Amino acid sequence: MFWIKSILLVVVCLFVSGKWSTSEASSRQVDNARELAILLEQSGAGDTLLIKGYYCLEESIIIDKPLVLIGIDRPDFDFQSLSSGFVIRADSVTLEGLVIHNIKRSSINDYAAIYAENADYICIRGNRVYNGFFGIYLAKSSHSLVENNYVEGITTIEQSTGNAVHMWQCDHMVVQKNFLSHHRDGVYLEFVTDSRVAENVSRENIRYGLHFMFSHDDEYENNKFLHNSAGVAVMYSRNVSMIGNLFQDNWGDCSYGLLLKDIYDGTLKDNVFERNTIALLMEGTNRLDVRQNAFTSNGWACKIAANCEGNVIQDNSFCANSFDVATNGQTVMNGFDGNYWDNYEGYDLDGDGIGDVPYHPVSLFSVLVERVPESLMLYRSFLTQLLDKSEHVMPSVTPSALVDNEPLMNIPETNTAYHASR
Amino acid sequence: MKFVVIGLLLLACSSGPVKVKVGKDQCDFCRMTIMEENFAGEIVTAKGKVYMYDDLSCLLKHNNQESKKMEGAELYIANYLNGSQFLKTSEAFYVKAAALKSPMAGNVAALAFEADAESLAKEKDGQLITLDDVLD
Repeated sequence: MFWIKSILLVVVCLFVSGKWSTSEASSRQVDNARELAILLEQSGAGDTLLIKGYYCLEESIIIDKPLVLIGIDRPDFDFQSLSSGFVIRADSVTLEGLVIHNIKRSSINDYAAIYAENADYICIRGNRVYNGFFGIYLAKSSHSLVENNYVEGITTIEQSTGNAVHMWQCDHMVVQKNFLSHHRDGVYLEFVTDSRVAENVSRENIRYGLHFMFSHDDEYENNKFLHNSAGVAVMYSRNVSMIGNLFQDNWGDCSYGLLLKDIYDGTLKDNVFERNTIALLMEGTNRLDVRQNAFTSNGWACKIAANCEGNVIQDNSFCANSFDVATNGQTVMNGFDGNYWDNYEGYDLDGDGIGDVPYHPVSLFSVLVERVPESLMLYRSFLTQLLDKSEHVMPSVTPSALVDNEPLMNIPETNTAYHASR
Repeated sequence: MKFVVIGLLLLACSSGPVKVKVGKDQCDFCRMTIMEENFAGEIVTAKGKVYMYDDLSCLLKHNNQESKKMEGAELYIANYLNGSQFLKTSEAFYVKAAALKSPMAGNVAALAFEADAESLAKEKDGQLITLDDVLD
């Protein structure tokens, strides 16, 4: 018996060493779970596994060396709600074209369909995840790509749903062209820097479409955030640039298109805010450039707290909103000059396109609603219209410093967001 | 009838922590929607108003900031091992560990018993702390 074993060992050694010496990456095909486990064990760095078939598994698949896994004809992995899915513990791993189902749920541990920790240069592309507790979870990773994935969760058991794409302590990440729905947050970034989130569609998530926490020097562009229960939140972050996104249909008691809380130095440009309860809510926001955005058909276009300072709000269009601007104090340290307001009733005698009478976007009624929310019941009643008119003539309650001295008569051509959304 | 009315009145008067509607209620400090019951906290003021928080760090910061409003208030924090149970902050045991990943990165869990706290600290590679150390 012993000599059979030793020959086998020698053969295996030859096989392995042969592979190493030629240092050529091989490509192997696999179509069942047993073979996959063996191949994962045997293959060397840089090998490619072409995966076919259906896999019903009870344990997660651990990848601890740089491998490329490519699904042929959408191989199906069902983890039966018993474990995590793919767990990546090495750099330079690629997962492509896989379909992953049913990940374990837990209120203590973060199980995910694809989980990578301490791994750089990861590429997760073109996968589908259904009923992943967390979808794609990257921790302490850098220079990685999450692209073209479809991640759909189940939200009937509310508290036990994780985020579709979750990143923690990462840098130089790209998340693009994904479809993310029915999770807690569509994209959640915590301590993530120098990263880009672009062209994703995030909808019907039970908290936010996108959520930034303590994440600096990032950009998100051309994403669509639709029907999320609370909108998008960018919190405790510096230097975030937000360009060309669509914030739509975030309706509800405490919903908003975009919540900015404790944000410093950023750009908010070319975005469209449509049909949100509160389109833009700013608290503790400083030195932000708000330009060329379109605010259309919102409850409140912009709620700006008195602790916001040095923001420039210019070249935006405000159309068909119930309230244009609301604030909670008298101090105003932000510039509102040069916007288009469809509620503006002034005139332009010299024909330079700028209204000759300043516009006060905060109505008396909006101040009243801020203090006594129940008074919203009187919205559009004769009494409040009378009050608004009298306040218009003799301002007393509304903050007089919150004024647009150069209101535009027409929506500027530079506001491409508005023109494109028509 | 009389008793029913009196009963209802008494019910209306009861003060104490209320159940958090996960995914609906908002943190009164950071405004985030509360998603994790086992990190939630509440302050019930002397007048009976209930403030809700998604993380112990939010609760304590708000309590410090609005110290006048919070005079005589009771502070509650959810039991990490049983989110629907509230503990008085003064009576709970605390574990701080980065691996807890609480909503506002306070990363402190509250527990009812010292033994639970010790085993959690072991499991998550954290340490036992007191309430005064939470914000440090």
